[in-house]
Amino acid sequence: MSDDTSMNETPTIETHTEAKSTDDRSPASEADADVAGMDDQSIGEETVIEARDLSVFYGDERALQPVNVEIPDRQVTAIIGPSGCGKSTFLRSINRMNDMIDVARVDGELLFRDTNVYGEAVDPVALRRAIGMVFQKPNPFPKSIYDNVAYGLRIQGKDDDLDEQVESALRRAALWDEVSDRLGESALDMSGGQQQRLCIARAIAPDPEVILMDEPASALDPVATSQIEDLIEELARDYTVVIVTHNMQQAARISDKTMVFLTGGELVEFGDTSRIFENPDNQRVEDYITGKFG
Amino acid sequence: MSDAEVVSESDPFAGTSDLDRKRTIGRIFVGLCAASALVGIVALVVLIADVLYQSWGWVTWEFLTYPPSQFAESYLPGGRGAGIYPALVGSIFLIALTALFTIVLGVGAAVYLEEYASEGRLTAFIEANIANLAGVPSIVYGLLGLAIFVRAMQLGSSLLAGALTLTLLILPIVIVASQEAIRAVPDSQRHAAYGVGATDWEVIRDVVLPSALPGIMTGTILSLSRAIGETAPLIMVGAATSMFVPPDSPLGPFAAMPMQIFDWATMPDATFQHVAAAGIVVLLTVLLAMNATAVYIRHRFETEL
Amino acid sequence: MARKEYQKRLDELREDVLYMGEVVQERMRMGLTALESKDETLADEVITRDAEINELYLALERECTDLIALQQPVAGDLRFIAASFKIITDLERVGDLATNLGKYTKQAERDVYPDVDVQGIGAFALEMVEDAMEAYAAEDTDACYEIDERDDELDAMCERASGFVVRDLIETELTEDTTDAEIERLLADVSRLLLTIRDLERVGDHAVNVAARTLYMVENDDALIY
Repeated sequence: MSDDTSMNETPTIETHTEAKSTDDRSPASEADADVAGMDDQSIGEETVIEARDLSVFYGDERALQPVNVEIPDRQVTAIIGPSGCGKSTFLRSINRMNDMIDVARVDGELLFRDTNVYGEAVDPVALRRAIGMVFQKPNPFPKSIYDNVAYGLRIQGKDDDLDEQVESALRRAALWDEVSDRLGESALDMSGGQQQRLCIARAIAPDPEVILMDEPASALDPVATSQIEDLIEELARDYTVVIVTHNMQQAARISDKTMVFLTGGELVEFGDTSRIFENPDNQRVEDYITGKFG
Repeated sequence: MSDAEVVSESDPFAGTSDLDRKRTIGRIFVGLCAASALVGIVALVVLIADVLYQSWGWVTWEFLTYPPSQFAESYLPGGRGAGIYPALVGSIFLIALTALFTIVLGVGAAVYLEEYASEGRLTAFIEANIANLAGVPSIVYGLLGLAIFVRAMQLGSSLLAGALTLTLLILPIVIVASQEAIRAVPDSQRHAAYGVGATDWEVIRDVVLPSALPGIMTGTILSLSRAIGETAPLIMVGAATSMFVPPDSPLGPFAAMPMQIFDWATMPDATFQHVAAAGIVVLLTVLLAMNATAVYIRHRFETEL
Repeated sequence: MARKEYQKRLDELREDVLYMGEVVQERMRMGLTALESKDETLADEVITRDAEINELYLALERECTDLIALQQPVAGDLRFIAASFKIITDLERVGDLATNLGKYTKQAERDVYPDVDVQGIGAFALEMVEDAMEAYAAEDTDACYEIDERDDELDAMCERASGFVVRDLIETELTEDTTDAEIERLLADVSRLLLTIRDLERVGDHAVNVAARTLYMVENDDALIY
């Protein structure tokens, strides 16, 4: 890192490519051993996000043990684990939302399309335009439905054909039919489930590549939850979705891949959701998903 | 009464006889609290009633539109016509200028402290000082204004010097109130904006300030209504007790209502007690109007969307 | 409609089970034809292609486990998956019995008892399987009871056929000229025929199982499950 700082931009990129080609070998051989037989579908999957020894510290406390993982394109990757296991910390490190915590510090690399998002040249604002986020509690702005969806488009300067883009986002969020005749009304007058779908519409309106979701249904009733889950499955056709959930059944229902974090911020297992839920490698993971350990 | 016996034998609430005593203590406590509340209300009602009684018939259109006079007869209905006009205009200008400075400086400082400054010793030190400054007596600000604005900056005993002094006086309160309003904006709102790729400035402009505005505005207006009644700092910066014309420029001399009222109250002629009371009624009306505006703004912003 | 993906998977499971049913019936038909026409090529095909049915079975079993592990099915959905899980086992067994028919074809050199209507029994059993799968598809409980009744008929048919064969064997007169080899062959033919009859009777039992699971699935009624 100190080398990078002293260099100008061009050599930085070279350093990255070098680092990539050398790094590629060792994790690949490791991954072969780990992944062989467990991820039969992994062939032909494109990796969008890759963590390489990514750790997060809050002050002196390590919130995340070094994480190595490859998150595939256009699939739902669920992150599960008990409270305080670092699952949200990992999610927030992807779009650098941890930057907002003064004491948070990140070690290692997080590659988004092969670029280290913690590299010198990466602007977190630009990163968040490519990686949208939906939060635990629906947080629409106290504005109209229309303005909520249009917000990201406006600040990103994508405001040509705003009406069409807003409609398209609301349709993709399965909300258009419910709100098309009251776009001017306050978003705060909607039900919780509608608000959360509005937040999803707001996140997907500027067409990011990845959508991060931090327990998006935990504040909703079962019907609204079910709608959100359907929506997430739909979204995975066009976007890479990474979702943190404390609800294991939800992860089982909607995800293609599952990451299991356990106490201490350790990524214990990652793989196809069906394999994790039917035949996990790790005994602690089995104890966790069968509810024998909490 | 065999029924009663049966009941008492199997009384599920046995051993609760202490409740009566406790309930009595509770009633006494409520009584004391109510009495305390009454003291304040009664005092205020008596004060207002007295002022209204004293000023009855003295607050006329002439009183609002004429300059003051040395002669009590001039203030009488049907007299030559005299009143509070220069001080009323002076106070309104003074407050308008103060409001301008306070909002710019107060909101700026609050935004910096809440949104930009990192949590550190320096920030904590600044915040502690601001909190302490809010408790400093107003006469001290008067001295400060005299030293800095009137003398060092050579503004003289002008409207501007007065406004700047009052700004210093209420700035700590406005900063603290604005900080609280900004802090009350839920983080989830900020995250929502950051999440779609907003910059710090965009988050503050689009999310923080709109949400915090009602709180900032009420805090500011309530502080201003304190400033409008201040006399001591104005005496120190050398405001005129009594002027016959309203101020014509920010750098010109001015009179303000509290000092005018003080002037009347010290007049030997007893008739001037009624004039002073009339002045108080005007001052209180302006003050209540400002507070009502604050309430209205808060209500308006909270119900809108 | 909530849980669209899940509903889609349930619908697909139903279709896949029905498809497996069709494959198995086709295989039975082939086995019976091979037996009748002594077509060894066809018999070979029946035997080798049993692997397809086994693969289908494993894939569907896997899908059922996935659905249970990942989708937390309850109530009607759970009964549907549980019933399907059992039904594919029965279908796989019917597939094995079809393979047996292929094996018997290859072993048989001549018809010993043309009077025994193996084809008739086979057709009867096959029709039971077909109707059971239709009942499963249509969730037709009346058909389920009806299939159960028909099994008694099939059992009677098989018993009559076995009785005929055994009685005939007893009545067969062995002369001095009968060689040991001839006796051996006679015994082999008889036992093969008895096995064929038993296998066809089993096919009917599996059809009843399918009907029983269907009844359980539709009405949570375990009347036909023994």
